[in-house]
Amino acid sequence: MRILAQIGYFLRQGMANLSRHPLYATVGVLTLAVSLILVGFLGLFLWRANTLVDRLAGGLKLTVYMAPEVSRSAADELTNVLKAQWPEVKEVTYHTELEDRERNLKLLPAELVADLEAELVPAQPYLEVVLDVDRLDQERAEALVKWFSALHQVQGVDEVLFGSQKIAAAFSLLSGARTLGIFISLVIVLAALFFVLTTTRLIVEGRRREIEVLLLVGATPSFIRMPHYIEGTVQGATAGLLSYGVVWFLQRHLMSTLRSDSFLQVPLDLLPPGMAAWFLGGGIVLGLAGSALGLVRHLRFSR
Amino acid sequence: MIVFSNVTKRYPGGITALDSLSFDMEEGEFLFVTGPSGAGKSTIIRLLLALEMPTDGQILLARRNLRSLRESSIPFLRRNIGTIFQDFRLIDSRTVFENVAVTLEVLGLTAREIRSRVGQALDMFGLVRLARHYPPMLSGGEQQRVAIARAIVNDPPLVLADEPTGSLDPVLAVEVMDRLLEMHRRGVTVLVATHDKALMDRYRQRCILLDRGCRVGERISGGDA
Repeated sequence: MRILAQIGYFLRQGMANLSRHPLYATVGVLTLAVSLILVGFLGLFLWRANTLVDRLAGGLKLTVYMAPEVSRSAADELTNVLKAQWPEVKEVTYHTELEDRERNLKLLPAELVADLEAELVPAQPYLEVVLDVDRLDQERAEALVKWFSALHQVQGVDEVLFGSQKIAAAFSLLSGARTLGIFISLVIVLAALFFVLTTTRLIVEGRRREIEVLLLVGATPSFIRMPHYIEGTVQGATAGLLSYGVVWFLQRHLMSTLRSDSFLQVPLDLLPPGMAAWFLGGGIVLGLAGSALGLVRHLRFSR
Repeated sequence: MIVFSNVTKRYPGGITALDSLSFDMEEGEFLFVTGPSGAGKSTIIRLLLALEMPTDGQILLARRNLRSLRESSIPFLRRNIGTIFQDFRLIDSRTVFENVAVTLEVLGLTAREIRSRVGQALDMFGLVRLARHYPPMLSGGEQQRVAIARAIVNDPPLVLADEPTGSLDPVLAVEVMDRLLEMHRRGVTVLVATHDKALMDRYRQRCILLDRGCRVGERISGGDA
């Protein structure tokens, strides 16, 4: 019965703290929300950076055109060499001359294809090489570009098509984004934590008298903490949902701007399903951490 | 009930608040501790509440040695002590009812028990009509009555009052002292730290005199009890 009475008290006080101090509650929610938006946006950007660069760089694919007389076994042999030499090669797919022709036919305008005999369309077998962007760094990317540039000298290889500048630029962008992103993330996470902690401390400082009185009448530290934890959880959850809403709105706005400008037709999906739960969880963790750390210095019994 | 045995309290910087102080107090007794500012009156209260620990000497409270008290036991010690301060120590954001109820909420009483006991305490101190008011809306005397109601609502065996009349006018000061004596008559042990000689002289009670942390005398204050 006493436990139920205390749980009831904690819930009542937690909610009452929010209604008694609407300014503190609002400042707390906004602080948490701003921190989550900053950290969340950057985290999501970093998370999606590989995909973004991969897409910008055309999937980081190379096409190795083989001489028409080259046999399938010779192509397989080259495939094995490529895989053995370059662990960064994720996938090599052999395409026949027929498949190449079909692909070329699709690229040609329909009115031209209508009057064209299929045999007249140039075609040759080729290897499609897909690179693993996660395994490449700047140095390896440069070595790879050099190696593939010399590949046409190998017997049976007719031509190698790849945007060497595209790969280099992609890696330069990715490498820079990773380093800068990690650095900025750390700064923002630390700033957000400091921001949340300072605000919580100020809020708890405003309740110093209340905590002092509770300690005087025999409240245990956990008795004092629980309503604050409940309050922190509610604030954190509210901030989590609020920040998710803001990020969702900004993403939607950004996408419509990009599409209307026809500048970048890249599917920039920053908010995959389940991300609302991450924002909610992050908000609750931040809210609880702020409440716990903010109370520490006020729960001393004696000096 | 209370035994101070050669208790010394020194603060960093070499300030000595109490210097080998010894006195005792029987259960159900009423005791004034008096002296000028800086005599160590408030330090006695703070030591009894385990807000501070003595530098030297022993303090026994209900046969428990406070120096060997574990930190986790301090809340349970405080639940048996009602405390009244000059500055009332009320929570401004809670109503009069909620301020008094806080003592019982800590004990884990049900809402029904709390309503009943707080109602009785408010009635005893003429505060029923102010139950929904907030402390800043009350006069000093009313605030001190709320503080006393909070101190006794759980029927503690000991009440400690640190300058309880310090911020009240003489009429209200007498009213507050009468309330404390009323509790004493009901069997509660009451220790009042005050420098108000005129007020003490209205009541015939045991009185310990302090000066610069030392006990310099003991007498029975004059007047009617």
